[in-house]
Amino acid sequence: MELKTSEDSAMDVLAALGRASQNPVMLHLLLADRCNHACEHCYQVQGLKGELTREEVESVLREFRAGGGFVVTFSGGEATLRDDLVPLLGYAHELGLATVLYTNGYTMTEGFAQAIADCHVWRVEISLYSHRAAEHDAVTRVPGSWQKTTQGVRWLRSKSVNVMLKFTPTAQSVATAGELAALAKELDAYLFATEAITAGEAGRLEPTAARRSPENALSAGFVAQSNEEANPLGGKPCGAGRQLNIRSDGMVQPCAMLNLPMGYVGSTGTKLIDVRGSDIAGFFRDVTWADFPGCRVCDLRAHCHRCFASAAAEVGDMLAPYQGACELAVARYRKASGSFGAVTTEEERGKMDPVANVGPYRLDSAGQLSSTKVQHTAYDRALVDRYPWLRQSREVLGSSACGSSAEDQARGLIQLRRRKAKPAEGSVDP
Amino acid sequence: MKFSDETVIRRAPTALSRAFEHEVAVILPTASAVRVLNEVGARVWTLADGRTLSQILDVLVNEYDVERTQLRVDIEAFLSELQGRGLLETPPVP
Repeated sequence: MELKTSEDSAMDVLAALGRASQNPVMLHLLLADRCNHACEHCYQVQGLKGELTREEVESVLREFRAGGGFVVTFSGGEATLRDDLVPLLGYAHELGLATVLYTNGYTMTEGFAQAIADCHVWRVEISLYSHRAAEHDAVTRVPGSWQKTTQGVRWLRSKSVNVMLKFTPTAQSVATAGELAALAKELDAYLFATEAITAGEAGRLEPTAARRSPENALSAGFVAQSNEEANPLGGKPCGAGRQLNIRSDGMVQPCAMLNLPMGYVGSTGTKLIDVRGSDIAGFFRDVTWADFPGCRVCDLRAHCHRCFASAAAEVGDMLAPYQGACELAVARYRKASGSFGAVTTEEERGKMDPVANVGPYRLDSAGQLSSTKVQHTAYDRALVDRYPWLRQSREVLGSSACGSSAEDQARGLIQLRRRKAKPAEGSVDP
Repeated sequence: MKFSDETVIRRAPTALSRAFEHEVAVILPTASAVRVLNEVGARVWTLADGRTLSQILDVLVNEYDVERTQLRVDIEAFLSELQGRGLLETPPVP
């Protein structure tokens, strides 16, 4: 009699179970429309959406649980800025939901850590940008934030709360993967390092200015090893649509970065179960790599991690190749193949396309890369006709980070600017 | 880890789980991972509601084509694994 079990990446397992289930098993709830940090690379626009009340959030949690929900992630903005966070964490646990908390750890105290432990929070994920205080503080633009955040991690670990450090390599931090791993070990925490900085919601490109170059990310150890068998044509390009995402004002989205309304929970009363039947949900349920006119013919598709929101912001087409993804795909290919040869352009080969940092790419028998033009078919044009939001204008994108009311929409004309601040002189390295 | 016929087997109250068709996903409270139990493991998980080991074996031996002696070996190994992951309520009494 076989009693075999498997233990894999939690979110991958849950995503697979969710696909097999009739109802969503993961919920990402963006509780707060505000933050106490001002990171340049943050994808969010804050202060224009509004927030659900505690009662509305509890109603969502009950409905999610009744529909078979299993894991709820509370995030923001900065979720710890909500006075009702702890009661909500406790309520979710009482309902039988596993809870994950995303935070920057800045407000953590021993008492707060104990309260989180008492709520049986499964995991706290904390953003950390360097093993050096000054670099972290330069990213957050909050002097002293590294000290508070790392102390927060220590408080949580002292209460036996699982902590995962989430690292995003930015141009302001020269930390390597090895240095971050050493800090995570010292803090007794897990470490997760992402590779890419996405574009911002509302089509903002400012966050992309904080990206490290692919060469820098490669040399610092942040470019993941590719799998040559990855990304088959019938596979999914990213996690959009695999979990429920609810924005702070109650808008249900396919992804936290995509302001595409699949419905509104809260006072308007959209049922989560009804969201599944929306046209947008249907697109993300069905979309595969074969629907991407450039990517489906790209020889580096196995090395690609693309993002709908970044594509919308960078090139105005959610299905088109864009520099942020293509450059990283090239870096991953180089890492996988051990090839560091230059990418040539078709212009150099006497052809048309002068752009080498955007695919699709062709790989010749000598291992040389060249970029080619995207060929659109009648199917591609029909797809855009059916889902016109795949190509949103900058005006539409710009207003998409606002709440749903006419007043909120009008406020969307305001361009939010982040405060510039330097780390305090008192910031010190460990 | 030793189990007797009278050892009470009960899921830890902090061990959250959810059934998906024939499998059960269990949150590991002390790690950032999920354990997926197959059909037989899921059945044991369901039966771990305060019954004794002997009572669990009685149910399983009627449901599966397996000798009780071999079944007990398999189940004890499985329960030890769950115990080590903090998924059972109390340490079994030898």
